[in-house]
Amino acid sequence: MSSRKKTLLKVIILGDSGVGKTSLMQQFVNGKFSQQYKATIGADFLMKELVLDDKTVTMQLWDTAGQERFQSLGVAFYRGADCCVLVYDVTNPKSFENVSLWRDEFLVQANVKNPENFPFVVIGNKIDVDESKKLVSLKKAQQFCANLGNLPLFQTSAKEAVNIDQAFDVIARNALQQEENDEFQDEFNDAININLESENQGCAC
Amino acid sequence: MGASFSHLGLSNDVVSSVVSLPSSNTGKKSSSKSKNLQRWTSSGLSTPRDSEHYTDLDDDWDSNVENCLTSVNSQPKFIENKPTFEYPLIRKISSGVKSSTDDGALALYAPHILQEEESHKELEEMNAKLSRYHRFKHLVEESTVDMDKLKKMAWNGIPSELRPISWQLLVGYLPTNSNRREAQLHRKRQEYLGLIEQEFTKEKDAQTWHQIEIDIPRTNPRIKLYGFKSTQRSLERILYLWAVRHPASGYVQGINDLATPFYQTFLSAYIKDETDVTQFDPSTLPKDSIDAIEADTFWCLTKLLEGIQDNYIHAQPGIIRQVNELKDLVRRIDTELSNHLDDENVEFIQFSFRWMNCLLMREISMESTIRMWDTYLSEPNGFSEFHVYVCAAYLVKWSDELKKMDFQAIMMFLQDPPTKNWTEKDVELLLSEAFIWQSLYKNATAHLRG
Repeated sequence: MSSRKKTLLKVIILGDSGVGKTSLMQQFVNGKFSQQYKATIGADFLMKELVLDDKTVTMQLWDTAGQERFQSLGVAFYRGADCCVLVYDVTNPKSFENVSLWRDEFLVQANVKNPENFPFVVIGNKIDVDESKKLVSLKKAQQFCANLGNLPLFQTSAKEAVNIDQAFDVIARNALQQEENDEFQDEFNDAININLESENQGCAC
Repeated sequence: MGASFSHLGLSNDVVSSVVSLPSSNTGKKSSSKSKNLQRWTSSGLSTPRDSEHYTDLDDDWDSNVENCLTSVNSQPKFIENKPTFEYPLIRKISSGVKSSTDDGALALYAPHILQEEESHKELEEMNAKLSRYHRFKHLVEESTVDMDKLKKMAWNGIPSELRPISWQLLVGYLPTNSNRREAQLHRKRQEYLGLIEQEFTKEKDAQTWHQIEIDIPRTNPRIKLYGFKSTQRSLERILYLWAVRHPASGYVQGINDLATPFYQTFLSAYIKDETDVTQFDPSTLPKDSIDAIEADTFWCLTKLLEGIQDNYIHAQPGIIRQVNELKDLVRRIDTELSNHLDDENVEFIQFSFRWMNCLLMREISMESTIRMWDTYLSEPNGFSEFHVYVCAAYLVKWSDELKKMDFQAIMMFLQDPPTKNWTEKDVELLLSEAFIWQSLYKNATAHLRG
């Protein structure tokens, strides 16, 4: 039954203000880059259909605002997410330090079932800049991701469309995996409920 | 003289059969009602009103207080930079209407080539525009401006030439007594420069400054004016100063948008009629003028934000309240749409958070926003209460379309509604619809919340 059902994957993009979340999303969804994006307020909604190994999935992407003041909004947008993308800017070490804070914030607000196994993907954006401006080394980022349980890491340029499709392919696959796990769990829970009901009926007889 | 809605696409008959028009009497009534409502609201909310709890530094002045002062000792002996005070009282009326009161002048606008009826209609429109302009001009040139009258007229739109002074009066920055204005403006502009000096010579709050710096290039990026260095430096100073003086909220994204209608409007008073303000590089102006525009923008922005500061404090309770009010309102106005949104699991906060945080500025053009603010500034609580009715009118406008859509389509539609090219007429229709909803539901809402 689940194979015939339209598969919706909900993905949340988090990270400090100005790291390029909107640019990443626009590059992935519309294949374009612009210098003229306004700061995101609250969260923007985007969608994209993908084919993963013969299976068509629809990604619902929530591009969130980076400013701390908007964090209390999280609950309204994070619920039911299948994957969370954490973005930092390779020219901004502070934005890299904050990646783990964004992860914690997400886990608190999204109320996910298995925090240890929830799929995160980390993206270091703006690798198109001069080497001298890159202040977060790949090595440092790799170590960080390894420590958090081998999170997938991508270095991207939304401006020059580098590594975008590769990153979102992994995001989509991880989200799909998560969605299927959730579904399995739900069915499992349903089964328990049915058993309880029939037990009750048994007692009444 | 009753307010006319006919030019908003509503016949007077329709409007008056449903609601009372904002004539001066009903205007007073609704303003006292809204005060009660506000009092009620503030006691009913768990979040304290800002004025009681936050140490905001700019709450200690009001041009109304100025108005009450006797003029003894009030005129400074010397006004520096006298020429810059050339307060943009009245610029020559532009946009196709000459400032002559002589009826004969209208003949200029009746090119004989036009067919009788069309030219008649155009003539009538010109005539109406001209007479409206003169009535307006007369009103703001009075030695003591009748604010009730000004609000009543401004509600229906302010002629662009008179907008700078009208906005400053409506927001409570400029004293209604014209004898007090020069001194007040001089004092507030000097005060602003002093504050800038004070804040920009000490170490900056790094986080606030960083956020403002990355947002400035992202402010109205498609309007040329906001790409000029001079504009960007002015906005930077205005926003940073406001942020450090209002620590309970600090700078929140979206406040940058709210500064721009003031900035652009006040700037327009300093440039030649035929120049389009959106293309103008302010660095070509004398420093005194730039300082004056900046100071006026800062104080007016401060006034506006005083009314909606709980939109930007921790957890943004003002916005949450408005989103909930919008939801309640739409349930009453359009139950089918409300049910459909529920069925599709669309949450109001998902699409209307930005409507509240940026006062619909992301959905409509700058021009439309400026026209909308004429009305907001004329309403008792335009930005905090009337705005919710505007949002409701804005949403139910698309009811037929939305009811045919699923979650994704609804979200995509509301993400980018087809209103960026709205004309003044569209905005005015929206405002008049909002006015009707407010007249019908304002008390009902208060009653239910009680």
